Amino acid sequence: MRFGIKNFEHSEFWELKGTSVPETLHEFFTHRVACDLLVIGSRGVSTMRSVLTGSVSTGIIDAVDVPCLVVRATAFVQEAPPFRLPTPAGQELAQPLAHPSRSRQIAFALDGSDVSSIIVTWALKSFLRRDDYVTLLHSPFGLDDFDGVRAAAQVAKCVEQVQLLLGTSAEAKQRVQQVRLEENVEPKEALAQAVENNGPFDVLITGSRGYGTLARLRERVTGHGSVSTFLLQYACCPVLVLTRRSLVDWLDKIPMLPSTPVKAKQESPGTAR
Amino acid sequence: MASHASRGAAPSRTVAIAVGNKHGQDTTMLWRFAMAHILEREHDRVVIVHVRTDGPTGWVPIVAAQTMAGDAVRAVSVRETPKDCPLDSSDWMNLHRRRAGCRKRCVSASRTSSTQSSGS
Repeated sequence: MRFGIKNFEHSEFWELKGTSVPETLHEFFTHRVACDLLVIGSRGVSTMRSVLTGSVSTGIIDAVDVPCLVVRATAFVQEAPPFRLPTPAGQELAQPLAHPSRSRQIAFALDGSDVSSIIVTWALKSFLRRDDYVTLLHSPFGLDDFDGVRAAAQVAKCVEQVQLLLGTSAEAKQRVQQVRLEENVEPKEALAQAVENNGPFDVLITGSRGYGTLARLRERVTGHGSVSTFLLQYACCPVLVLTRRSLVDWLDKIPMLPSTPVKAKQESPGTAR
Repeated sequence: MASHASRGAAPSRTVAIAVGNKHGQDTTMLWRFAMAHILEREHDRVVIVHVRTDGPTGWVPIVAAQTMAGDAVRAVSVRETPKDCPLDSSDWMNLHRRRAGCRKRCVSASRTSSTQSSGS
């Protein structure tokens, strides 16, 4: 069944039948229609309830190979209870940015990983507009294979790329902000707090390593990792999640940033030969 | 009706909007958000996808799709949609407030209509 939408010349409606929404959408996007962005809603259920009954939005993110923009009802109407960290005495939180116009406020969550180095490039091609305000939220430390030198180079390169899109005027340069996350807090919590303090953002763009359901559950038990899942529940704005699977084509096309000298020697055997 | 400068040009991006069976995935909210912040009429191909599972409220998001777009949706022919559906307001906040009350009526109406269609 199809119908058209006025003002959108290229529009269509598909009604699919299936027992599982994630699997049905995966089949649809794989074999019928290739799309660049998927917008889905979320009820914003609690962690325990999502573990017990499952979360459709999380299942879709895991199943499809498409960047997913999750719009939580409570986040959109600003009714979500604000996420607050216990603020140390005498330490002031960052002041909200003063954006004079109603252009989009886009935030990026960067942690130095290969996925986060690509999300900005993806957004430049498929999402950002020239009148957007861009805020880069970057973590001073991360998990597992975090490389501080590489992360700093990544942020600098991202700023350069965004400036190329927005322009080189003084006004355009002011529309790009960098926010360094707090160091003594878990990165995902610091990120949620930074979104709360520096917003309101229209969209928060973050990468995901594409962990499965069991891995997410294990991480919930241990309390580490799963930044995207955490943001989907606690960030007070819609979250655009780009999984590694959704960026397969981009991983091959975009040259990666060099690692630190030690790792660079290990990862470039071809040059030694 | 649509007199775009780019009429005939192929869209450069395909944006899919997935609407679900349940009221929680508020189609109105999704549509308005997408219209305000995501979609660009000159460049986008919009694909609205509704996955109909075994639940009894499968037609509700389609009705919400009509509601959210107001007169922007044309040539809609959904046989499951009852004529007296209470979801007739374009104000999504009203929809949000009333969804708890209208759910039972919609579900019962849907079951009745599906029973009648299957019986006939």
